[in-house]
Amino acid sequence: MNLKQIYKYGSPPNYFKLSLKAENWFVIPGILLIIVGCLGGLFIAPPDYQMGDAFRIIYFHVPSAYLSMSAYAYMAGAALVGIVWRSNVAFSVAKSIAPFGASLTFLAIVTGMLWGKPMWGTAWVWDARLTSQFILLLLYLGYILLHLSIREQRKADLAASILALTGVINLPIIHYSVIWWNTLHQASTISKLSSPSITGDMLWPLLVMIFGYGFFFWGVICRIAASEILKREKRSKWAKEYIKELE
Amino acid sequence: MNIYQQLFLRDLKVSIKRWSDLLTGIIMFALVAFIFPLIAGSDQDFMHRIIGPVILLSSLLASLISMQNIFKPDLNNGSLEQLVLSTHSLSGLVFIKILSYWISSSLPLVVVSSLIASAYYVTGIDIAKVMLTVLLATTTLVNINSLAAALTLGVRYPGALMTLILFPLSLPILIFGSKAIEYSILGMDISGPFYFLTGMMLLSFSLGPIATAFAIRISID
Amino acid sequence: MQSDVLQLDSASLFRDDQLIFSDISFELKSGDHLIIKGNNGSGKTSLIRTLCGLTQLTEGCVLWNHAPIDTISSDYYNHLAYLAHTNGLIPELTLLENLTYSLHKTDLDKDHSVLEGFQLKHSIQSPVATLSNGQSRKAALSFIIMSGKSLWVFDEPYANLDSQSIDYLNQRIAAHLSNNGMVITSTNREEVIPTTNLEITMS
Repeated sequence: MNLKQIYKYGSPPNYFKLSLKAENWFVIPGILLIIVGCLGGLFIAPPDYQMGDAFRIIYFHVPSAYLSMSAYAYMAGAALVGIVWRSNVAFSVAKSIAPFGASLTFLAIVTGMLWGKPMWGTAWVWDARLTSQFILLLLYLGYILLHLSIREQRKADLAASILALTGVINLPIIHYSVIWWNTLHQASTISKLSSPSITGDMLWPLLVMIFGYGFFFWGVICRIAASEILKREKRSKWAKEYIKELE
Repeated sequence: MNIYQQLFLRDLKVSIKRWSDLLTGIIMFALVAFIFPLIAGSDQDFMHRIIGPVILLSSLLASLISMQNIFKPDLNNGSLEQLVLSTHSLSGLVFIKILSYWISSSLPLVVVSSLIASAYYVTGIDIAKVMLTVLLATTTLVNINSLAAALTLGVRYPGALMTLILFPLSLPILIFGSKAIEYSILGMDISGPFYFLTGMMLLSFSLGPIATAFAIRISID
Repeated sequence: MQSDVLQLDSASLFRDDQLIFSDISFELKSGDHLIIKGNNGSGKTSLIRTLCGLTQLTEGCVLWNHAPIDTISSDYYNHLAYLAHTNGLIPELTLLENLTYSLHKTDLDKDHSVLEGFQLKHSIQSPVATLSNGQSRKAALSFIIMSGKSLWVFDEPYANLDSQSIDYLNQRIAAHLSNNGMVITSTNREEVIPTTNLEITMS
């Protein structure tokens, strides 16, 4: 695919039509994979000898945590494209990812806490990963709040994108600071949320869930970003024609 | 005298005239550090353990209070726009602004931290190490503050938003800064945290003004 | 003598969905004076800010000597002096200090006759915060006039000015134009502006 074709797909009406078509190609496999993963993780995989059935929460926790971090990277990537190419499409994608990423982070924290309670008796633990997730949530919330606080949409896009880029540069630094701090303070206990070597039966549902989450995520983003683009471009010809067609 | 020297001297002169704004930050810094032993206990071991976090937290809160003074007054009196319309690079001018802001707002904190350190039963060369930590940590904090202030220039009540932006980005500085102070007092090797703080200082002074200048252009639009 | 030209080419500005102005074009050459008329809220300030490169146009572009100002901003700003609604003066410093530390200095130290013309010579050591609105406005105008830049852009310069100062300002504008300078003025006070060949009325 040469550069000209990429530019063509980057234009709002083309992206709009493409994403509406692509949506089902992502959402349906995503839901299927999640169902398969749930069956595998909740029923087929054997109970862990240490934790019993409680460990099954990782089938929700790990994909959420993993996707929440990669979603931030995608958001920052879209922000960069938006700034460099002044692309409304890229800004719409970034804006759509943010609430979804924040929810995933929240889900990861809650499932992490649910995992902790039966295992060690306390819901919250000052573990490197839970704390990192919390910081990530703050980064998402900062992005969302900045978007909401600036009235003019173009300014809000640009300002929030700078924040996203600053966040993504700092993210590794923050992550490793917290890990470093954590290793100093938790010297006496083994890292609580580290999973010991995981057997095949338990592993495949996890991978399926990770892919399932990913597909579903991109499917939903397709639709949300598409409606965002429609909103932004409502004055343009293609948008008016599309809305007329709906009526 | 070239334009950068001019801007630097001008901003220093202005911040001296606005001394009451500076004082707010210094007072916040001193009082937060002072309050801790009053309410949490004042035996020496305990104070040695909390001085690191207390000093870094006080720096963060002090910077939060005075953050709006970096760009808001200049936006209101029109000199920020004139800065953007200068023939010189806005990033360079913003660098000078941040540097002079750091000198007027954070160097007093370095001095005050020495008093706080001795009040926290820190002795001898360790006090110098505490001052050095504050010196290095505030350089990065001031850049993060400038970026947050520039991003929220157009927002009417930016307080909560600035805190939300500031906190995650400054966490590494807070962690390594308090570790640096803790290690100084325990007599351990402080080079690790100090290299980190110095590295962050270089990173933030090289990227910060560029990002802040971009944010100013956006907010002024 | 070199002749510069400032062009605006089918410019429109939208803020979100609100139309500020649409399809405005003009060509300004050395010796020309452009007057932008219109009531409050008609978009005069937005238009002026796009000419200075502070606000981005939605459509169209600003050309200085046939190059878009985004690409040659440093060169363009070498020729541009802008007076906004705010004066650009730092209130805590004195007039003299504002002058000394001004970032647009080209000829500023040499000729203080402009300050005399605006009757500000005796206030030069006063902090700008102690001056009246009219005096601060006059001070800001003097800085532009003394800057030595060829394109003067004024946003409502006649606000708060007494009639003597208005006459003096018009004198200096005329002198600048005959010296191959360019001036853009926006105003809603029609009676005080000098006659000119270029006019835009905003609605």
